[in-house]
Amino acid sequence: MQPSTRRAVMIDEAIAALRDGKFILLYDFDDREGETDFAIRSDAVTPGDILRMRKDGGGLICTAIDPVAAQKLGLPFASDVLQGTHVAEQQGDIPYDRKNHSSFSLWVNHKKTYTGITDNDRALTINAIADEVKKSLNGGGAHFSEFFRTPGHCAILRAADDLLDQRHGQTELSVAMARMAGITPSITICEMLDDESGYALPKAGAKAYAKKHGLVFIEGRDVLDRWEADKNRE
Amino acid sequence: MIDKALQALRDGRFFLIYDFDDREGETDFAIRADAVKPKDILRMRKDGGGLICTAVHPAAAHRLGLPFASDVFAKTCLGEEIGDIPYDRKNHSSFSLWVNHKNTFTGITDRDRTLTITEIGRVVRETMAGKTVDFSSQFRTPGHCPLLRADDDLLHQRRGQTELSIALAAMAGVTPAVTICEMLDDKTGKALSRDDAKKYAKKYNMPFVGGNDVLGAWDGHAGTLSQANVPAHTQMPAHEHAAVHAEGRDD
Repeated sequence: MQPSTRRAVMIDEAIAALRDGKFILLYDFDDREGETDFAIRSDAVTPGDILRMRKDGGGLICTAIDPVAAQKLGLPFASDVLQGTHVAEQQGDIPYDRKNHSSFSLWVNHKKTYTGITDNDRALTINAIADEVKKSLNGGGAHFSEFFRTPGHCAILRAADDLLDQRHGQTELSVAMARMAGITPSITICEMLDDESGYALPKAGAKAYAKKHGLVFIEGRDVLDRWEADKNRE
Repeated sequence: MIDKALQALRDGRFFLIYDFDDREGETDFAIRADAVKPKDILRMRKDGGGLICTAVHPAAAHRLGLPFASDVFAKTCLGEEIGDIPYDRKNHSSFSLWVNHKNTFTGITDRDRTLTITEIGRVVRETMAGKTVDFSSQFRTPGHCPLLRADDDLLHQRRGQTELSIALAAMAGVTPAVTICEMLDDKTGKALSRDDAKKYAKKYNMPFVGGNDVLGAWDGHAGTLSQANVPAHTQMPAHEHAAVHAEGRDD
């Protein structure tokens, strides 16, 4: 199989796995974070999935949402809300992406959670975020504050308005893939850390994990290729 | 056990801190922030599994300009209100800002979080010692390390691990910046039970203290406390000190 064909097969497999509610491993770019994240559709997340992300990933468990949903739900960028503090991030501060700000929105807990941090509580919050994203894109919902409070234990990430035309983080990559898969564009992600070096898990380590556990490993460049191909077809 | 916890704090070793049966009913890892190493972050994320947060003394929070997140986010439509927290209806959560040190890369790796947390420990020590610290020249928000701001009246007002750990740091005479992480259960999806946390403590030879132990020691400590015998680096200006220690200890 030609490398280009093989990569096209991989992106199809990744989109299918995402649609099926399975974990995929999503690497960004060698010249960006150089980091692999667990990624799974938020409406499929179970407490067992939170356990896996915290045990085998080790980063923050965050939920990336579509920019249209973020606007409708009134979910701002944290960097905007925090401008009132003297510590707020400025454009150019992010070492791996000087042209964009971080994608953090609010940290939330569903109002039915207890502490907000347990696997059960985080699964509840994350499933409910997907519910609201879905409703907001179907013309309903937009009553986010009825169900959630901030601050909380689940970070929401807001994808850039122009998605991959603007920013190339796992936030935009995962939301773009959700759109390609035709599922609710709310994807829960968690960075994979290395247990020996104290750095991010290297690409080879993430690929080995994917192989061992039968997960699809996909790179940002493959997602980007599909994104561009889809645009040209329009 | 309180003495062993205080010694662990001084030595920069982990201890486990449980709050109360009628509160969260949760055990946290706790370690002084300025002693944190990458392998400590690894242990907290592997064996704890909660958020890795750093609690700071209210006087340091005031001087560094660290607000409560609930105040900053009040202007969003979903800002938490008093009464929202199911295990403590009288108080708001202790979250302050989520920060990264400016010399971090992504902010999330064990090394990056260690840098952010140890530098928080350093600026808390400096500000408590009366030095002028420009927090914003060294950190940015949003980031990957949540700060927790202990209540102004410490254990009088709120009795979370945030206040318990800062009270312990004050009693131990160490910089009052303590990194904590909730211990979760891998089978039930809930918090790790107190019994299982105690077993973990025994297995790894870590002191285990409960909120009631801390309250008892704090009462005795506060009864003998005056500005004169507080280590210099934990002293606060008189008005802040009064706010923390002036009330009676009859509860």
